[in-house]
Amino acid sequence: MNFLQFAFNNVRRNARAYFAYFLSSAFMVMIFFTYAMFIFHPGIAESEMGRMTSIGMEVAEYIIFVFSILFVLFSIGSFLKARSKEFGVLSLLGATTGSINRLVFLENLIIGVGSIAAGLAGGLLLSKLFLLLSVKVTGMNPLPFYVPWKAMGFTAVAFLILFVVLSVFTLIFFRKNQVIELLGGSSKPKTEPRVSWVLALLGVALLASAVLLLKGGNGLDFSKVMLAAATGIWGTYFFYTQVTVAIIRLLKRNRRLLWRGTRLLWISEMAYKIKDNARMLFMVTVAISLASMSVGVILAANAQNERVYKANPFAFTYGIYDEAFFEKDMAWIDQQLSERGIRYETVEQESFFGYIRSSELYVNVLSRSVYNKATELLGLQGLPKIGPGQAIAYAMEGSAAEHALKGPTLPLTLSFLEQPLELELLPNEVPLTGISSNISVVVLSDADFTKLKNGLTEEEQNRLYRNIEIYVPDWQHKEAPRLQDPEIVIGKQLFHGMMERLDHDETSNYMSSRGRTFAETREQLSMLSFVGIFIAAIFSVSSASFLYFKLYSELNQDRRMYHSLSKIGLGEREMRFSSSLQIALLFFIPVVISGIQTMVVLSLLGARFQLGNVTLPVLTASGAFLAAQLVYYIVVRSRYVVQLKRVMV
Amino acid sequence: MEMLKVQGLNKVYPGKVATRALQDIELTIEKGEFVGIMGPSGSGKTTLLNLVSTIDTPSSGEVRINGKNPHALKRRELAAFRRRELGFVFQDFNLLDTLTVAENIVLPLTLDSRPFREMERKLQSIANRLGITDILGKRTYEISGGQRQRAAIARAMISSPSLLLADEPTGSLDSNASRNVMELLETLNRTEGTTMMLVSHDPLAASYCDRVVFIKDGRLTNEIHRGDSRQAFFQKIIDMLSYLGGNAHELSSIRV
Repeated sequence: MNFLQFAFNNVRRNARAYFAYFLSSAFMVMIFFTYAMFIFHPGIAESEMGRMTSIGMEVAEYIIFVFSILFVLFSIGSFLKARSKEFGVLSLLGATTGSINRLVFLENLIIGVGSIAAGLAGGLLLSKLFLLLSVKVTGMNPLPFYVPWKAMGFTAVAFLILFVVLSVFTLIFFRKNQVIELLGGSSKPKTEPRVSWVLALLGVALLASAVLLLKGGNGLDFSKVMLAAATGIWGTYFFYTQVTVAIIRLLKRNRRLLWRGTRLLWISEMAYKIKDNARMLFMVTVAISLASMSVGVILAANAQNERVYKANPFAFTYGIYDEAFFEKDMAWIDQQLSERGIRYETVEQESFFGYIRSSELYVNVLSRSVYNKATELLGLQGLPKIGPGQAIAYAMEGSAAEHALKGPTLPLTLSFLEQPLELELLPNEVPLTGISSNISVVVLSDADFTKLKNGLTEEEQNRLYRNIEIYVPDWQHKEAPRLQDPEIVIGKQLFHGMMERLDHDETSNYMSSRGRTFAETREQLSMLSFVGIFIAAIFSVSSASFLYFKLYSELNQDRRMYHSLSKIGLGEREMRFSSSLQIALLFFIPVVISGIQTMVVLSLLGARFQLGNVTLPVLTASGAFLAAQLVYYIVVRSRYVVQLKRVMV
Repeated sequence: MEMLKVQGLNKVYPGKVATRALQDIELTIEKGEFVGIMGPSGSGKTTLLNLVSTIDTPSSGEVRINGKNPHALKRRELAAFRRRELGFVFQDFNLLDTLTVAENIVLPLTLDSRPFREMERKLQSIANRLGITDILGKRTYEISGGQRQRAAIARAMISSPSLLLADEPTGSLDSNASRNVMELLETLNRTEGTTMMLVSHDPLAASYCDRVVFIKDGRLTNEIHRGDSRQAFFQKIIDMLSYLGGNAHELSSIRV
């Protein structure tokens, strides 16, 4: 047996320990490789969507790589710790530090090269599928399959460097203990987890201040969000290292509660398990939180995109900035639509872009007669008379404005005017509809609107808009359209036609298409979710791998404990219950905590960024993580309990 | 009354070469008796202890504890049987580091879901009798070896077991702590009337027993009673040990 064989056998015979680490590394290499394959694809630069997607994927590559560094660093560190007894025996047999280092380095290299090979092989197998899928979700032209030498080389080199550098790095920082300590392994009695009540309170205070930062005050700037993120993350760290231990400490004070069945056992064990794994649980929580927040934002934005589409009855909105081009533009639009055999009707609208400071809301302010012209065209009931100083407001269902504009008689103050306009909000008596692409509408009496218009300063005149709304009766908007529907196709054509006119100085007016806006947003969101979903998967898989490894390294300790407990009368069922519960807590606490964090953050931010109701998206995102975690839990638990069952007598 | 009755006990470990660990063991321990099992390494005393403590199952023969045959019980009943009828004292204490001394002691009762008041009361009383009241709130690593073994004895005694099994209880202790622990066991045997079975290498520990049974190569060979002074008993045990094992071994084979 030469040295290489020795290292190889070590890896092979420790397969159970290395299993999850190997799989997660291979999975990360695989995802990294598939993205690289997409980025290096020769056909990618041809379309705009392709370029955008590849930028998204480049960002994803960085995220994966940074995460891989953390993952590998952490894993190697814990492997070394778990194997200290083995190193003790080797030093006792006369191995020098150098040769042990060489052994560890070789082993890491073997696993690294193995996972790179496995990841590349898996990536190649999946590549055709991946290219097909990415083209489908982003709506690009099909990308032909190619042999991605460049991507393969790039991935292999990147990860090889990662494995080599990190192995050397961990060895340098691996504490060289005395042989006696190494031989003792982890059997030294553990002191009771210490808890600092000051730090525990600080943790709670940090979490609370993160919430307050997101909630409180007017105006939410970038620095405030970053500060909230920092305090939130810091608070989460103290939550695991201090708060949970403090909670268990409090629980343990109540003997009546604690001294029952296996509770005494698992609650006491839990304090150690959480404290020991605090840093890992913290990392897992932050990773899952970030991932579910991103997924939640994408899902919420998707739902919002659909709502905006459904709320807008007009297929096109033509905004007039320069009257000189008006006639020609309208003729061009008429020609374009008629050519395609599309019936349409138009209505002209004049509106003021107002702002309600109290609820931080932008609204379209219209006169009653303009609004009723639109409802007449749409075949809806018009608004009844509105008195002076009164207003009727409409907000899209599920939007943030709904809450602010609904309800009984409310005072309403329009800002952005030198003289703010005080209005009394009337209750809605007829069903209202959105009338343009803006989702919130405030309708005034004709007299009030004229007064508003005449009272505007020069600068405020710029906030007065004249639009031609184009209604296409054939294009229903009850359901979200499919991307090949005529509304989308024609909408895109007209939009681009108008942009061309703009480029050739044939107009300076702008036309938006409801269908195109919808399709554009949807494509971008699909691209984001397509890229993001794999990153979320990596977070999920590697967090499970962390947990698996941690449990595995504590298995011997638990075996000893359950063995002696079974002698004094711990039944198999109680062992199963106690150990399953502990594993379950380790697996599910991070998911639950990150679910709560996601919910809090998105509902606070969602209100500000017009994301609409975020409950369902958050539940979907967190639910997906929970489901994945549940699968890992079932697998890990059954393996673990089988191991423990062997020592039960 | 017979607290432990072992009849025709055999244990064979199957394998390529089957090992007969125990052959035709007959052993009876009366209620309130303190019996020591001694023998050289590999003689089968640990196997006997494992069979009596229901950790291992016999190949043939029967073990009755307080009239019941634990090997006929289902797994779940067996765990409850161990909690209620047996008390264990181990060489390495087997106390949990994660629990305080008090929690370690009441563990068998909590597993049995006894009422809280009863646990509290029993804990106080056993701690008083064993003189460990002041270390109840401590962690296992904060107390000495002798104190740890006291805590372990308290844990074994708290459920008032029919039979207390001690496996080398002095094996990890210095001579002073060993003497204290053995005196404690002896006192408990006298005052509480607890039936005890001790397995030990240590003749000094065994000299605290009422009776010592010797086992060699899987068979019971001899038995001596204390009767007179402990010093004399100790001497008899030493003599018996040197006759059974060690250097006497070659001589004994020539003698046959």
